[in-house]
Amino acid sequence: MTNHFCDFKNSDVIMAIGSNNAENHPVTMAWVQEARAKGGKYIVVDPRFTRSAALADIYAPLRSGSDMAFYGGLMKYIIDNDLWQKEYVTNYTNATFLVNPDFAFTEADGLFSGWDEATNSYGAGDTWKYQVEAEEPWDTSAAGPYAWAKAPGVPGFTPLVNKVAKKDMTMQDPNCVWQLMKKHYARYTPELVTSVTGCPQDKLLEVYEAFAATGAAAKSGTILYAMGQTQHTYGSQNVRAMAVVQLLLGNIGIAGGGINALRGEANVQGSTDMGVLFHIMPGYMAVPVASKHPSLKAWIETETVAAGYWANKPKFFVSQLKEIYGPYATAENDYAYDMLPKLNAINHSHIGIFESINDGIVKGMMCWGQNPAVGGPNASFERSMLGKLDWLVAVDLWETETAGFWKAPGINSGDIQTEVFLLPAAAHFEKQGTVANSGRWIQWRYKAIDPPGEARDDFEILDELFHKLKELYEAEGGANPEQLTKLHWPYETDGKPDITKVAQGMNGYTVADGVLVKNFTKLAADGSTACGVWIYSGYYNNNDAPSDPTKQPTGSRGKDDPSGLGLFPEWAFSWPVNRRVVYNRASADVAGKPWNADRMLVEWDGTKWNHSDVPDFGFQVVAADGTITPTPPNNKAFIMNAEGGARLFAAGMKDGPFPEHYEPFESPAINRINGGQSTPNLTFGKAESVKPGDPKDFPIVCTTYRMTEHWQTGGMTRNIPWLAEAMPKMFVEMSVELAEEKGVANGDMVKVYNNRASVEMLAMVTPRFKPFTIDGKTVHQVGMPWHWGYASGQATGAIANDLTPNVGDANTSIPEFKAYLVNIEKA
Amino acid sequence: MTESAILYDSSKCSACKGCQVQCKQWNMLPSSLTKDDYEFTGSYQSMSDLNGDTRLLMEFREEDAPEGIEWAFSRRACYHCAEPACLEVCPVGAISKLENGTVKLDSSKCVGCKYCTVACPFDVPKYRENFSVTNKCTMCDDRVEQGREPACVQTCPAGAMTFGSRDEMVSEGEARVAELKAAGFDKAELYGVTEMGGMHSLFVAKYGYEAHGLIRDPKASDVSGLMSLLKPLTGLGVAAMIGGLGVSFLASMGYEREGMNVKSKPKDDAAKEAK
Amino acid sequence: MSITRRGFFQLTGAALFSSVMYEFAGQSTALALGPVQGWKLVDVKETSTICCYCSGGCGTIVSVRDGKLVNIEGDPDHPINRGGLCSKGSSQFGVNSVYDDKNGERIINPNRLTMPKVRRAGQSEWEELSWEQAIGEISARIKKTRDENYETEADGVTVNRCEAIAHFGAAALDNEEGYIAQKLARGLGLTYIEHQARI
Repeated sequence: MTNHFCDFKNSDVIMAIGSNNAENHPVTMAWVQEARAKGGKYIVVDPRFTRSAALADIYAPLRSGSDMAFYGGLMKYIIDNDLWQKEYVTNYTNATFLVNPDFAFTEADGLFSGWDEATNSYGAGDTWKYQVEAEEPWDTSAAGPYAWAKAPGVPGFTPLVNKVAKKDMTMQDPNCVWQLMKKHYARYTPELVTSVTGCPQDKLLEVYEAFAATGAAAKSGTILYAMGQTQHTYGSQNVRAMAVVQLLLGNIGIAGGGINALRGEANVQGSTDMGVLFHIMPGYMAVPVASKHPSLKAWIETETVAAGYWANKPKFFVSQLKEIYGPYATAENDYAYDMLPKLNAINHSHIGIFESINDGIVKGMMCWGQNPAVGGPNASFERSMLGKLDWLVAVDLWETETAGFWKAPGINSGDIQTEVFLLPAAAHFEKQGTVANSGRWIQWRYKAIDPPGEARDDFEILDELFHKLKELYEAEGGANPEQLTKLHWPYETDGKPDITKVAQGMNGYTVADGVLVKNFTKLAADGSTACGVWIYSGYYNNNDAPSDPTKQPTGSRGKDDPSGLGLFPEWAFSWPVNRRVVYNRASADVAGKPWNADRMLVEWDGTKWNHSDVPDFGFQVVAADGTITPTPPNNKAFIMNAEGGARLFAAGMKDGPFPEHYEPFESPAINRINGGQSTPNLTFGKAESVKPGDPKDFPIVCTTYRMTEHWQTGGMTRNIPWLAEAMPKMFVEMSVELAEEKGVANGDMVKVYNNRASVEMLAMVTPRFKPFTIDGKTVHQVGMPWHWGYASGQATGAIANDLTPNVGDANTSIPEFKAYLVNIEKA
Repeated sequence: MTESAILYDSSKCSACKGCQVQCKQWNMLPSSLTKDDYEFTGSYQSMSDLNGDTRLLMEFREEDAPEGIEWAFSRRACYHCAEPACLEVCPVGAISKLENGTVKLDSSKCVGCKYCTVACPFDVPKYRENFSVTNKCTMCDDRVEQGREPACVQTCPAGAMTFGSRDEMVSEGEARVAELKAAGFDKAELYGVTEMGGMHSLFVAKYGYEAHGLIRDPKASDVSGLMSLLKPLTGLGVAAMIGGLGVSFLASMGYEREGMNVKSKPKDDAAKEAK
Repeated sequence: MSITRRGFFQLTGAALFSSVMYEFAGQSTALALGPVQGWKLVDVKETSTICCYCSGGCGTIVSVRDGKLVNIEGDPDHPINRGGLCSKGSSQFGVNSVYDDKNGERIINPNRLTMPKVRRAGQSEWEELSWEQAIGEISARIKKTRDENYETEADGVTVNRCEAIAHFGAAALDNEEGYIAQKLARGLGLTYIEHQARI
């Protein structure tokens, strides 16, 4: 989230799209209601009438998989009706930037310029680059801003050159982003959008009008989204589209604005921050790829951004290496960079793991509190792959379907040679540590009670595993033992594992004396500081009580809210540097005057910056002697981008610099917006395991979702009797019309099937689902929760994900759970 | 002592069932520990009605109205009537009215005769087989005594429930109804102001009483007078007899709970067929 | 009558504290079935935590007496949920304990795992094993698979990787656990490192 939960009350218009926030994040409703009580509007856009829709001021239905058409239409509406916030867009975005004149989009084939059929990619995207006005090399002289790059101990690398883009502040140049954008979205007429989405035109325009009204400078609009936006083969572009809409309306960086991902798990934000993903290290830094980053020098030169705050990346990365390898990481061995595993060209994402089991590459698996046998796409395929493993270790509170995959219906356990270990873990209040919520608040959870029986917390298990492996490698040797044995592992006090020591390593400290650093501005690239997760730096920095979380920023419980904006600056710690609204410089105009004085986050009073939130820009310079010199306002509102501005046009995307509508991998409709059917470089589309379905055989759109009463694969909630009772059975929701067509009555057992699976469940027939008219034809849609499986002491049912396709987004490889094809018959 | 009441506003409720589960949590009420031992109601509703281990149930009703879906959520639990029929008929004094209007059922005194289950016009008190007592909402009088809100009220994440002085709750509820009407919900009304002498659990019905399953003009059972006469007698035979009366009473009220709250055919078609 | 949500002790930074404020109200520390005779929260230790379900970060108060769970409800002081919890949040008690539907007694949720287990190749049942055995056997398997499938160099680049072991999880872990989980995984040279954020 750019903003945070309490901030929703500051919105004039809240649009939930691809998020059923009342259902899946019930706590949001109190804040939505506060906004409504002040006259705010709540819009829900969803294929079905949800618990959120029941509370909405405007509900607009839209076929699953047509979001981009909806956004394209909204952009056109904003542009055509001149509702964009001019000062914001002109100064804080790249609207004025000039793009390579060779850039083009061809409607006939739906491709942007630069497509390479041979590699099935846009390659380097050269035609998407800005025209260059000037080249500014880093000033590494002793008095220069980049003097640190030449300091002793800093890895050798060639200082970067910032390429400053050419601009046309009048935005008339045909190659400027603004003109390109106007042209690009001219095709998204309301008629076409209605035909593609199935959203009645009056509803569509009602939503557009209400949300676009937040383009007024003093108005705020927020978008709440979730997996309904991301779990598509063009999911990243959905997110980009939301960002573009919000930039056009001047809604990013302001109280009551932003694009706010309501993430699905208590600490999925945190585990993403921790880089428990194949492609990122903790703090959103690239995992080394052999071809791109063969050396530390290459990593720094490739990954460091030539201007803006990411220019400091070498400081964060070297400090991270110092945390990982401690004394073993020295300037001489490039801070043990070689010890980091380097990726090859294989796609290592979730879907890829199962393809790689199939290919004989992956042979063992550790599964910490995750249940891919139910939660993964094409889950029956994933289960069959588990049976190819030599061994599997599952660590959980319960026996999940993954741990017990060899017991699945239809499986003969005698045929399965995989050895499976199942370790009993501790629940959240049976251990301690922090979690980061969607609003980036890092909060400490304390231990209330011992886990039952011999269950242990994951930290203890990990610690023990490390020590055992270290012992084995020290005793027996093996493949590159130092990679493991040299890991810096100072996470013990008096011989017992101590999680506060991990927190200290994540926060960062100076190597010489172990003193916790105040925040990441104190990190250096010369090996003098260690810091595991630079963005968390400051969350655990009190040197007076390093072993007492209650005395650390993350444990703080101050209830004051001086601004009245719900920022609660003394409650827990919000990364980065306790900032509650990121990009908050954009909440004020170029001169530093807030767009809305009642929602002041930062304000230039003529001599200095006043602020209710931690400013997200260089607002002052503190000299060595402590003298503070305020920095007068400029237009650099987005300091994480080299441009200093936000991107309406983003050359870094793999599937196009402007979000464009493509149909889902499996769709009942022909793409009417361009001549390409689905995203050209979606991932795994050609994998044999996918078994795509033809709309002639499977004409019904299906989507998956969650219920308030359950959570994810149901591993937790189907084992709790209160919740099993509250929502006991697996079902598929369908319209009255479809039920009639199929001869199905409410409560009947039905078979839902496609080429991947056939599963049986109860029918829930409801007027909350309605058929869509798409491209002049009736298209039915159904939906089902994915909380059920076969392994539970309380409630069992069919696995929805047996039906979902294991194809992924071009940028992220996130699977397309949210729109695929099925057929239905009475069981 | 001022009378207090819970105000439930169905227009703010997201039907998350936090109240339903927190009621069980605080009051230590189990759900079945037997695998797959739960019913499917055909809607998001957990079970077709309250039971001995369930004092509060979220109900779901939906209608395909011309102006859009009317998905009516209802919090079903004891209303804490000013003139409680259950109290009238309890032969052992297990049911009492507290100063703040709470109708309390003390299960340590309850002998499980089920008179109250029959007398209640709302069919709220339920018999707990394993404990041979009757069970219903206590308004968390233990919490209220300690200055806390009832568990269901405190846990409501959407702020759809409020607890406070009854007068205030009535005026707040009336204000909410006025707001809803102004916003175009013409059928909105407040339930419990005068029903059964005035209830201590008020209900802002966004789509009107009927849409939310609320009984218009509820009356204590005709049999409750008879039962209060029989109060001193606590024989099994009497309980059985009264039980029988209760069944016919319920039938005469035309009050029946649908197992499947959703009709599988549109209203119009169903109406046509009925003709 | 003034009813507020401020029924709890002010935490003022401290997370662990003993609830003595209700002691005067306590007639019995025993938990009675059905209507509670004494005040349910007499002599409990109250601890703050954050709900384990969605990403709202709702504050939760866990009450424990004599090492046994007594109550879990929303933290009224928490700025996000202000005492509220949805159905899942309200069920956090059930992660550890349940009430027996036969006699109403609080018991450890019978679905919880309490011992390490292994299913040997081709077998149809779990066997229990000690932690020492489990960690020993798992470490041996990790080491064997790693040693047999390790690449030090590819195309002239030092790659130091083991592609043969995948690591899943987890968003259910605390940050500090997640941090050392990926640190250990990368310290083994693993590249297939994924969790719920992808799906």
